[in-house]
Amino acid sequence: MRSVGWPSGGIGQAASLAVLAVFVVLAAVPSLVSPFDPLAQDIPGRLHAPSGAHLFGTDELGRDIFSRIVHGARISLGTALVAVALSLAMGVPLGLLSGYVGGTPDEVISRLTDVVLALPAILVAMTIIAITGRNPVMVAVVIGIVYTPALIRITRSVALRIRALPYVAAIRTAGASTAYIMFRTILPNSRNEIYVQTLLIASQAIVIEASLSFLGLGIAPPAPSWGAMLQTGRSYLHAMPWYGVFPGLCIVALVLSLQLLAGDVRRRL
Amino acid sequence: MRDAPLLAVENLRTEFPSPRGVATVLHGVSLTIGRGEAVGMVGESGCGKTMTARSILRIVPPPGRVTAGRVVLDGRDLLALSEGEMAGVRGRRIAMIFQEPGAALNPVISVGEQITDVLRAHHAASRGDARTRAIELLREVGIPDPAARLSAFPHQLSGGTQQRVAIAIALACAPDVLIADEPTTALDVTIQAQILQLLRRLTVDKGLGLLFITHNIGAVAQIADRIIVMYAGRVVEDGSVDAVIDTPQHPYTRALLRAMPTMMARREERLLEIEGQVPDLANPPLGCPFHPRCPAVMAHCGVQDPPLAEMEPGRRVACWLYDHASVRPT
Repeated sequence: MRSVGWPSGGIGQAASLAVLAVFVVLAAVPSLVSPFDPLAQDIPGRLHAPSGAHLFGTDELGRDIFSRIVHGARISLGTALVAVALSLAMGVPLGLLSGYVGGTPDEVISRLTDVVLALPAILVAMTIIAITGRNPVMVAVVIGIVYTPALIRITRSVALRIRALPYVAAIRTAGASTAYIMFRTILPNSRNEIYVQTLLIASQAIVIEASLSFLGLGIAPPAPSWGAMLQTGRSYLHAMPWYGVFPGLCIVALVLSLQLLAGDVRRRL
Repeated sequence: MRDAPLLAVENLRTEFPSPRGVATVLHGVSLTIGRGEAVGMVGESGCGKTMTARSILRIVPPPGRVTAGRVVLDGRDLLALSEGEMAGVRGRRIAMIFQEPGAALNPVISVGEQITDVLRAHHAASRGDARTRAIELLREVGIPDPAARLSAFPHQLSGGTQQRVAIAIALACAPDVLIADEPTTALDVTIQAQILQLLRRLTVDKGLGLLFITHNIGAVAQIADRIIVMYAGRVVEDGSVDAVIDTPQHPYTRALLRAMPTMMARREERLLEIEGQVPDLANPPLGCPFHPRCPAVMAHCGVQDPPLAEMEPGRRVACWLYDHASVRPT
């Protein structure tokens, strides 16, 4: 039987899933939750402390911080989603090719992977964005490219292990093509390892997006990016600590829950 | 009186480069398999039985490779085919089943899908046709309630049923040759007998050529028409089951038969073991590879490797005891 039903990972896993679910709902339908337009300015009401009307207070332009955080979830998770999808689409086939076929393709792919992995992800991302300019899709694409080597590495190592197993030899003797063995024999047997890596890449994509936006290289204002809010909030850290704390907490909660889930899956491998 | 064989292996040589030198795992193996003929291949671990099978199908694990010889099927040398053409031969002309049926099935795909995938890869059958054919195949290999079994995953099945499924996959594209590499070694004795019977029946009914690899001479006697005895990457004796078991010629075959436990033997009788060790393939002894362990060793044995000579039609032995004519002066 394939295991279905309630995950058996304990409180940590349940909490992680709950946190993730909350953010996914926020990202999917932010307007249902947020009481204000995240871009609506109210200069007279600027820099208010948290209150009944403004749950997390207002920022330097009088915008509702709670509404901006809710809408920020879409930017954060959307970036992660696009980045993960892209690195899966590129990394998994290349990793399978490298690990199963070996030889020259493996040499070429592995050396290129080494080159990209040798460079700090954030530096590569900053350089590419400096060249291409900042737009939300580009930020996600760049993060996806930067994390593709990680996925190539993990897929390759699993493919190397699985290709030596008897069922690969068996299906070869039945006349299976290389593509069949890569995608139908090895891939389904690698899905747990790939799943773990995917969760880790998602969590890192969120950190990178926030970092880029914090540095003013990510999502352009006035769009509500958590990283950019953290940057502005830094200026008011002594007078209004809540401004920077709430977006920071959101980043931590989201990243932590993704990492805990990844760790949980890995322990059960 | 024999027709042209279905599959002829000629002088197959397979080598593995290693840091200690090149290990020659197959040292000029020649054999034939006829239609409807079950050939049993016996020998100790590491004698080249599995490598013979893998070399025929060209799935020798790297860095090993076939360096000489021919594998002739229908007048075509399989070793000369492109990898793409060879993929069309595997499954469709020559199929194989393995020792551990549980490990030879993909654990995350249902049994039905594994069979239909093979059918669809070779015949481009529709989904419905493939399903119907998969049910027929499972019935043919003796699985009860085959339609219900299609959705099962390998780990839900017993070892015997897993091996039957593996046989069904191997038979999916109606191959001419079936290679069975120790198909019963991992199974219970009663299940072993059932699988042997199934393979025997399929060989006769479908006119398959069966190459049955085992270290169990008892199993060979039950299923095979002919026995090929291998030692250190060579065929040392080849003949009908009766001839080889009743009148073994090669000293190694005799030793192997004496080392086999039988039901009739008394506890007081000691099983005879073969003295010495299997030779190091990267550094084999000069001359006949068996001569350091051979009870009938002669001076010439350590000088020259005996050829596999035909003693009478259908009976071949590689031993200087029987082949004085080709002893070259030394």
